Amino acid sequence: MADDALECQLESNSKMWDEDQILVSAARQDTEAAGRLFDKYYSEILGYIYHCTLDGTVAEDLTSNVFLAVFRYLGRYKWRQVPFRAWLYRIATNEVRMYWRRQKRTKIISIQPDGDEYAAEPSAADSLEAAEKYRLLHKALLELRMKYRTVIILRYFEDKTIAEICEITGRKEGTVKSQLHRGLALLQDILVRWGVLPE
Amino acid sequence: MSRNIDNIDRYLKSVVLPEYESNQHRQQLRREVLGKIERRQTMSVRFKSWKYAAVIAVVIGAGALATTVGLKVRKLYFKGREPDGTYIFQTEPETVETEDGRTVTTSRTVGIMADPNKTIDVEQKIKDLEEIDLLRQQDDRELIRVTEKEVNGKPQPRTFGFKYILADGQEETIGESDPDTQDRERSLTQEQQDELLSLRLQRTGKEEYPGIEEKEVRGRVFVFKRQLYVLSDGTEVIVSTGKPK
Repeated sequence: MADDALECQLESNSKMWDEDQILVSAARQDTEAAGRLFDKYYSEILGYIYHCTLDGTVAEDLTSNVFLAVFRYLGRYKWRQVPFRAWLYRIATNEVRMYWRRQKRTKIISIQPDGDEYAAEPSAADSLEAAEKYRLLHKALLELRMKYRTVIILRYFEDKTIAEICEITGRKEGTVKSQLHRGLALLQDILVRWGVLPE
Repeated sequence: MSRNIDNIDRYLKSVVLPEYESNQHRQQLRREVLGKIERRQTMSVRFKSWKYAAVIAVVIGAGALATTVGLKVRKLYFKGREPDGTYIFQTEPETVETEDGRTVTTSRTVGIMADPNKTIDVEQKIKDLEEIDLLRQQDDRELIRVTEKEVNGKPQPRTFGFKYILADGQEETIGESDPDTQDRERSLTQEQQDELLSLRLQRTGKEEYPGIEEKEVRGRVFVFKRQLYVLSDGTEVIVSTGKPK
């Protein structure tokens, strides 16, 4: 088992939190601080949502929803409950979840790996092969339930620690570890079935 | 189901993540987000006390201006803040000729009411107000509110609420005095005005309208709802608020 993937890394993020805390407090009263907060997190959140949806237009729309909600409800945000970054990711994750729910009602996802329903946007990846590899992986991820997909994307694509994933999803460490392990196993099975990974 | 996840772990770590950037979206969203914050700071009518609620523009001048010929880009300057949080902006004094041939020096003062504990982006506000001034000169605005008052039966100056749509799509509602009635004597003291506003806020949503009438203002029919308020000193104030039919 890939222990390092499940290891609970309790990194000290206190410096980052302090900086965010100051920015968030100032942003409630000052548009300049709000602008700085926006600049700090825009690319990160857009990137996260793009990794979840692999659709630039959708990623832009959902990112807009996230930031409009964040700054609308900034006054309600309570620092002690969850760090700002985790709160931001939580809102983004909810947006993605709602997006997939809407899609589920209107779209049947192909289980074949060679379909082109989720063709990648023009990618900045080094090669077409890399882009194709991600497209295929993304397609496999869509086969998973949302809870498994979320923890895998957060852990592997967004480099979040288990502790951070706990904050984002609001779940306990044991639950997150279990979801990650089960999600990885399911994903591996799909990729083996598709011939992407060896048995 | 496979329990050994080493393969998938290695596979995931080898994936090159696609990147997505959109500078245009970033700029648009940034403008939208900050614009909303600023509008909330200056225009949250229903929250807190009335002092932090409305955006009010007050025209201070020595007489009614003559019909504007051509457009003037009037630079606004930030004059300072009042203790109640109001931001004061002013144009440079200028000499104009009135309709009756008199020459007067005027300047335009705009007060933006804001929570004293909060700040607004002054540079951006100046740009917005200058754009609003140009729209105002062209009368490119929509009259959306007319407020009339009578104090113990005596008509008071009337105020208009104009909606302006700026180039970036944001809407601003600015109040200003009706030039035809601004010379009327104002009967209420500041304390009485505060009490009246307090009474109006208390009655928001549960108004009774003893009189409703239709009236044309600036070529548009407005429906006026009249409301009687009695101040603690017995002063009777009728506030009549008109909205487009």
